[in-house]
Amino acid sequence: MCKMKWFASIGFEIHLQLAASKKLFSGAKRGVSETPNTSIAHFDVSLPGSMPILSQEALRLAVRGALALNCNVAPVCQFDRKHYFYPDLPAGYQITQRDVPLGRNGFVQLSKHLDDVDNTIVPIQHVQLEQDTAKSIHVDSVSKTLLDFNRAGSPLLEVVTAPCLHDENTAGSFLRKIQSIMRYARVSDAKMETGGMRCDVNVSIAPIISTPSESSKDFTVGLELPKTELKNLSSVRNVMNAIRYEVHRQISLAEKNEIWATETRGFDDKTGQTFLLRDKSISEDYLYLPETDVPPVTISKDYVREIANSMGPLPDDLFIMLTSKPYSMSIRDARILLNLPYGYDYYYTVRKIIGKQAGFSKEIIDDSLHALPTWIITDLVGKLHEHEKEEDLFYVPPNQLADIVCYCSARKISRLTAKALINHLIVTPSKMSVADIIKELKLDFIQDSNTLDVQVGKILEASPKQVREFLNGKQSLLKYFIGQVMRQVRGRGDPVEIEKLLKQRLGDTLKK
Amino acid sequence: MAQNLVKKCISVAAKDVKVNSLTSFHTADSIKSVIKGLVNKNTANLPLNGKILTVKDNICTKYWPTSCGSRILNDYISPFEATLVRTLKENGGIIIGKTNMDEFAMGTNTNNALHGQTAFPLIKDKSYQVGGSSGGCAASVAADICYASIGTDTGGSVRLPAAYVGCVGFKPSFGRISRYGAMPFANSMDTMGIIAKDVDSIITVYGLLSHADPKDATCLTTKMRSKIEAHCQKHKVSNKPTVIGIPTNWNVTETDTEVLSKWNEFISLLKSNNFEIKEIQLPYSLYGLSVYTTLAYAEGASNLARYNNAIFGSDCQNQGRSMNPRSAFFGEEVKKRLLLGAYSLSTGKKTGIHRKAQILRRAVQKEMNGCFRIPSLHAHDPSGDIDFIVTPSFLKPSMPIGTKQPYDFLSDSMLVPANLAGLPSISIPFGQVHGGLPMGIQLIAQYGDDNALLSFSKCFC
Repeated sequence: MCKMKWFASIGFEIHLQLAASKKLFSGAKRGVSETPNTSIAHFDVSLPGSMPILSQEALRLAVRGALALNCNVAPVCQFDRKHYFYPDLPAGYQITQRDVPLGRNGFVQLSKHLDDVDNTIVPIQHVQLEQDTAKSIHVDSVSKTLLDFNRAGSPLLEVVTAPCLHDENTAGSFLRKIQSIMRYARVSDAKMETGGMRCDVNVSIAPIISTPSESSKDFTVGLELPKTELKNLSSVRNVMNAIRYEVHRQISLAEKNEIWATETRGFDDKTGQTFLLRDKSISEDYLYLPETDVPPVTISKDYVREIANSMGPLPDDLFIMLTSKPYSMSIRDARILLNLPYGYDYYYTVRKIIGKQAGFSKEIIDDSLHALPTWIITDLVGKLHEHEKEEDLFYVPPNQLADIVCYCSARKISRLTAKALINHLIVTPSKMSVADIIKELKLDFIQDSNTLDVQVGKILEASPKQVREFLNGKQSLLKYFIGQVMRQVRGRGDPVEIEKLLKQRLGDTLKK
Repeated sequence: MAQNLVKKCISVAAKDVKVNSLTSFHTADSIKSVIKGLVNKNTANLPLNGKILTVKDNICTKYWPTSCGSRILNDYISPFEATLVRTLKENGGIIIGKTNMDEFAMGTNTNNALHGQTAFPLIKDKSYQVGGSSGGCAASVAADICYASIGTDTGGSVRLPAAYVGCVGFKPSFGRISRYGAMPFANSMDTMGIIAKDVDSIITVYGLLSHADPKDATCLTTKMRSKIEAHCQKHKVSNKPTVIGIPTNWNVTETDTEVLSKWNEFISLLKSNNFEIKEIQLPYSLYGLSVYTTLAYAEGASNLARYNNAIFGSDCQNQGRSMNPRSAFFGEEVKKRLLLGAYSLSTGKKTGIHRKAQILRRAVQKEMNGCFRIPSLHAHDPSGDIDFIVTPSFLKPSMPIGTKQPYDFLSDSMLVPANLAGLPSISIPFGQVHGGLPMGIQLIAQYGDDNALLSFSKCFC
């Protein structure tokens, strides 16, 4: 019997917290206070008689976000009220944009090189500006919900796509690209773990009716089955896993000829399974009404142009830049660097500091700049992973990394020492200069050749077998000897100097 | 001066016993302290110079509760005050109390479960209806309790009660007076209005309240005001007589015969003063009440959605009853309008009655623009040659408390079109009908032409 093939469709409603200093309509400060209910204005708790005043700062950030996603920015946009009852929504309605949103018909480019998926253009249906709700904290012991209104009224940019993605890997790459774009555009930190970005995912499947043949690459797809909305996903990884699980769940139901209703489901990352949140078979009527207390917002072409011109480089531009002269990074390095949160910012800052370093020759500076990507991508990131820290490069402040890289290139310290310093700074952050740390921990190269020479002699004495093999032609053992000496001096030996001393002694032995 | 005011307070209390216009009232002691403060500031030079005022109980004040005539807000004290309240105080006005209203400004009776019925002894000491929803405002002025009162006019709520009790009621153009601190009923129609005994008093108060407010995005900015002023001036024709438009199709069958005679009498008065009279047709405006019901009730339902959160209605929980505070505390009229409002919004955005009402509202604005001499600043509609429109303020005058008539719901029908189009409109007293009941005449001008409307009204009051 022929097994039915299925085509999955995935769509997103992404909510991004805008990096604004004030809330969208109330003028209260945003994102500063940890203590609950200390950053609220009258309008945030819907005291009657209070009125909304649109924040120009939030509008700018939202327009920038729309441009970063290649949207057409509406010349006039307006706000609507979306009504529903929930404790975290004090007005009983949310001010959002339904009829005339801020931006439409944008796209995100995904490429093999930068995003690790087949070249795709993911269309963005529209972006809209809206209020965030209060935060509800459920207390397990009692059937109580605590409400913190610090977040109520904060500006959100909602990014909506059609169900235009078809596998979880592309979906995951798409989300990461959105995060990267929004970070470089300085619109949002887009950090899912702290609520900077929240995703609702629509997942549905449809049967494939005809398969691709030699003549046609396209296949025909039958009627879409009921879609599921996935909510409360706390990371990109969880989104991908949830999608994968949900598609399989739907397929297995469909293959048993079982039907299901449109639902909202959550994801349990411990079991790796989705579970029912609420039945969505009756679609909610939000009784949309125009928000007439906020007059329609005119967005002139000049205004848009000014924002576009002041926008810094975005990931796709940066990728081209980094893989060209004078940076000439490898595709792999550029991709990894750009996918690190604020990776380019860090790299750029360290580069600048290195470029200004006094007391180093041009060759050393060039060498440092050339070696920098590897230091960041391999050594710094590696140590962060090792210590199970998040991928925040700024654990090692840029000026300290600049010093480490330069000292290493100038052969004032060994590579081993340099790595050890990075490790040290991650575990025990210090405000001391790298030079002082080196002195304090006695990590600089042993300058005295005699001391080194003594060590070299000791190693050679202790390894007669290897010496014989080396003299018989096994040149690779040189590296072994160097490594042994380095171990003895705890990395404080300059390998070039050690090699010189080894060759001298071994040469002498030869002569003997 | 302080002593005089204390005396005044006592007389106010006496006057209000039968009328019940005030929901909250300054005690003699607190009035003394207010006056002391003002005396130190030398209010003699301030425009209002100690004049007594009242404000409707849906306007936020920090001293008294703002209850909107509803049990759900019965002890709500706002942490902020309305911009207009601050303006009145800064100009030397003394607000002596809040006035009674229909619950959440929804109604024409000024009767609610919280503060009871406001009534006025119009004929032979018999209690007559004051209309609504700013009935307390009108009654407090008519009873000589205050110099002027500020209310809200969403569908005639300032002009109707003013007309019923024989006072002047002015609804300016939408956006003239800040709504910051006024609890909303229908955001796209609510207008702060002024009631007083004569037009001069209205002009004084209006002049102080009509200014920009950065806290209200729908309040006209200073720049816009200059632009509107210049625009209105440009279209004034000084050597020609003022042209009055009479919408004869507004003379519906329900119009009281004596009201109709008074309308004609006023028209004759205009003619004898060399005003040119023209007959105009405003057919879409006859749908005004239906449009108003569909749109305003929807906005009202939206604005009242907040009375479901943790801040309001906590009484229900405290008493251990698990009753929905909205069911417990809202009155019947409010509940009815909430249902109608939700219904109006739920019948589909594209094809439902809400959309149709919005289109009709635009049609009403367009037909109004079509008759006025001054072209609209909002839309490129053709204009006409009318300076002011003149109609009665109501179909029937006030009635004794307790009387119910089949066409009660039509009481606002003449007044609503000005709310739909945001036009300035004023009701002035014009004699009496039925042996002692005040008659009101409504004058309407083009959007922004408030000053000309007030000057014109002054001729008659």
